[in-house]
Amino acid sequence: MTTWEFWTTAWHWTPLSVSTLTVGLAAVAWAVWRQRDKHPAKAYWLGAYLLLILAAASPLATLSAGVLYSAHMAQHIILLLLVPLLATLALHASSGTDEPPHPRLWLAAAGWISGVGAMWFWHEPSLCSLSVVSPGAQTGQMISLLLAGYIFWRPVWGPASQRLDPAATVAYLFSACVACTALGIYITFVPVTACPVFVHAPADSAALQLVRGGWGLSAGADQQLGGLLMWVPTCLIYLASILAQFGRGYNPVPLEGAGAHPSK
Amino acid sequence: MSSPATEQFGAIPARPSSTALSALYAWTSTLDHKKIGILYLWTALAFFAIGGVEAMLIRLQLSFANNSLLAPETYNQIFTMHGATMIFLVVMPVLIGIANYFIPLMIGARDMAFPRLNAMGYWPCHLGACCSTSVFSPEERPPLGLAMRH
Amino acid sequence: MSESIHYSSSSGIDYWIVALLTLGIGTVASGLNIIVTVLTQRAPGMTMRRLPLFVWMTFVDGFLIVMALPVLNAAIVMLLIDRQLHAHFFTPAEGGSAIVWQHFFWTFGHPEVYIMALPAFGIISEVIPVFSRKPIFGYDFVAGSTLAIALLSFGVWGHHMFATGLGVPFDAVFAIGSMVIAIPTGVKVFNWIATMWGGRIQFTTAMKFAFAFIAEFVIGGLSGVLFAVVPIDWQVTDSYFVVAHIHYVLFGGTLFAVFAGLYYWFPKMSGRLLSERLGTWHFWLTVIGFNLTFLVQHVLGAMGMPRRVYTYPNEPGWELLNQISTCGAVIMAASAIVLAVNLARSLRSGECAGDNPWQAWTLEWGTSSPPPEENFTEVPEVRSRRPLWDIAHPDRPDWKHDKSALQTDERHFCKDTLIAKMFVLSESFFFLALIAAFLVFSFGHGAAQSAARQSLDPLRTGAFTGLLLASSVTFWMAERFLSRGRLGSVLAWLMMTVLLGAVFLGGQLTEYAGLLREGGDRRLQPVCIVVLHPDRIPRFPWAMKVALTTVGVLLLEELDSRRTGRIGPGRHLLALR
Repeated sequence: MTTWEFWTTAWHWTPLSVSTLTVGLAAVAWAVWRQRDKHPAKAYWLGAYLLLILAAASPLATLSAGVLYSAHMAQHIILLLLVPLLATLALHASSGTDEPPHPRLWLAAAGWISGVGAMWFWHEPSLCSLSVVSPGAQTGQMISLLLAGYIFWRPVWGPASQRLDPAATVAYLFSACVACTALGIYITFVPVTACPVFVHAPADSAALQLVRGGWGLSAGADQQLGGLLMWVPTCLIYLASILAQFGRGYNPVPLEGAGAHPSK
Repeated sequence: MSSPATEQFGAIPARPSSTALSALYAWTSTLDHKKIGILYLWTALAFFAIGGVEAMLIRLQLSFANNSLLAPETYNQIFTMHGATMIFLVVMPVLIGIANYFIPLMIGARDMAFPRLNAMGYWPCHLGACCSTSVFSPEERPPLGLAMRH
Repeated sequence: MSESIHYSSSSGIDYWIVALLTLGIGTVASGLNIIVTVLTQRAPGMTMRRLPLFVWMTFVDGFLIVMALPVLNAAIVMLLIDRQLHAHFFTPAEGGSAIVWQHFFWTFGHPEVYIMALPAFGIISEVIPVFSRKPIFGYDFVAGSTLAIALLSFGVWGHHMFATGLGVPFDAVFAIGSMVIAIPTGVKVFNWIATMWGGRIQFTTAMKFAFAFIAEFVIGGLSGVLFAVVPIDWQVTDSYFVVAHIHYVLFGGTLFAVFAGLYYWFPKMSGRLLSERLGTWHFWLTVIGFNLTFLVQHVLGAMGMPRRVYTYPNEPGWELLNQISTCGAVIMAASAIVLAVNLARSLRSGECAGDNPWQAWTLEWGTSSPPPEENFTEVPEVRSRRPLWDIAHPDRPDWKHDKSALQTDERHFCKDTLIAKMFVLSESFFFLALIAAFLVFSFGHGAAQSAARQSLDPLRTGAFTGLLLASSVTFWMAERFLSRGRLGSVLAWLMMTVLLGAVFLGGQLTEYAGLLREGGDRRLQPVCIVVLHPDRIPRFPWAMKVALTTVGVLLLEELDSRRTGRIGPGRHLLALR
């Protein structure tokens, strides 16, 4: 099997992926319909849905189902960080700033704990293996990652009045980045297996032969790549958010009449 | 206009004594960010000279193939200390010195937020400098070599 | 122990370690102070969005210092423990890992590159607008790219370790990460050029150095991007190409900016101008000497001459290129002498500068030169990023069209709480490094695991740490009761705090006593000797004698001050406010 054949044929249609995409499509349609009066953030919704397809049904999902640990990691990053990020942006894109700011500390605490916690929780070796072999755990993982991602991003990109102020956002995202980096470094360098099911994958699978033979990715290199994905690209997502927040702080929405006389 | 920085903090009164001694006392006990900044800058300048002499020795040794102006261990010491001196005793102090002198002036403040902490940040420089020059002591001859890489 | 042949066994390294540790502590203190000063001491109207760029970049630099230096401090503390107390954090034969030393060094080392570069960028961002007679182009982008550089700098240390052999995925991911960090740096270069574009440029010495800074730093930056390409890195690693690169970044970058800043700010610090004629000599000698010295080293490196060697065989061309390099170094030495002469002459009989010789716009030029003890008799009103421009041009002030004028209220920080939080942040990085080292140790192969268990009992240490943390809670309780005025409860909680602290200290003493007993067969260097073997002090190097004498004098001074009631050095140091 060549790489091209693999990417064109090995789509991952399981009851879970089909139902995820169906529910996802319904949710997006409902949200766009609800926002029809304002400016529905169609591009955000489209991006979120395409990423959901990539994570749940594309050959990436096939790889992540017991073949390639790094694909499993990429799937987690998409489900926990990217899809909820775009969904949060889309949900609250048109929320006005007319309400007075009222950041909620407990929301931020819950967000941080669920965002970082979900990442750590599903990488405990036995849970990681379980989430590959058991359909129940798979469903739980899918729902919990998406939900945790939304709770995590809400204090940053949620309703404008409930957002943290820019300085606090930088601290929020930077500390989350450090926590993920720590786990990423651990997975990259630890000599024990981070997720046993990927080492004991059935050798007769065509996908595995492609990965090991065609791509030359050994189980050890695979785990290293998985750790590095969590370490570096994940932090770039946080970093991009920090910079966007910083830009928000630098270009405050002009208040009525504020342009004439500067603040003292 | 009442600046938040006009609050008072205690400075140590200079001891009445000979002018040279009292000037020395004033400089060593100063809490003024401008004076501390200038101390940093003079320190950096002095070590720039030392680090520069080290650099010249390195270049002289390397100006001929198979040269034997410096013994291998001496070369290694000088080479390691050139790097450490230039980074930790020239570049860092000069940047912190400029920051010390100009940050309060540029933001319209009376001084740094913690003048005593500021002085405490400066004086360890000298202890560090003493320790680092000890590397060259004839009593305890160290083949330093790959110190930066352990 | 047989490991002594593998590393430097003399005390030079121990002095080097103590020197770095002391300098590291001082630098962290300065970093904390800079952060808190910028956040709490600004004059009315000087909002965060109106900060001069030098202040903004040094502020971001403060965070880098506070987070990166503790990692180096932790690493050298472990190195000291390895050398003095027989631990094996970095000795592979005993289950430690020399690679971990490299990781720690570069976790610190890469941010350190930017710690030294960001203030330089800040100086250039002050000098170029003033001598182009234009405000900086794209203030927001310069400020934002600084933040991007600071955050990215923690994530790319791996590119210093491509030659260590950490695997293809490692190299690939860090190669991409390292190329990303070139983007925000490039943004700044374009901003500086755009600032000069169409400006009325004044070729003062400061501006000349700023020009040269851009040119040399771009060369250094580009050779830096080359290292992100793994095969090139393997080819030139540990060669003179690297030496050339770091000097283009540190000398052509940072020091050229410092020279620009020196010529720009010297009149403010001394009240006198530096000679522009000598300045021009200094500039051309520096530029010619610098490029002669280091440009050829790129070629030497590409030809394969390794760095860190005391001599080399006479391969074709090597001797000639080295001699060119040495000639350049001699010219740079001459330039340094010109600088010294310029400084001395100007301090003695320089032309008086006046308050604002360059017609600059930031606040420091709004006071006398040199500034009075209290800095400002009255702080000029700040309504935009260029307060002195607004005063000089009341008909067309900046704040009429300045976006920063739209700012709403800012948060006000309490400086005491803030510095405590920043210190905790700094310490957490120190302990993260220590914990990481222990984890590596305990995941090592058989011997290492037992060694790790032998040297540190996590349960015992955890229990003592728990007690220490609990003492914070009891102290907090005492404070709460104090605010309610219930002195009896205050006393009880305070006693509990003291008790917990005492148990913790006792635990520490027993743990260290054990370590010292085990490590006792080796030289117990600087600090221990003074206490245990005072007879060896005469054999100390002279500089250590100076340091010890200073400590002695301070102690005597302290005792004297107790007698006379004056404020002694001890109070001076302890009352950090």
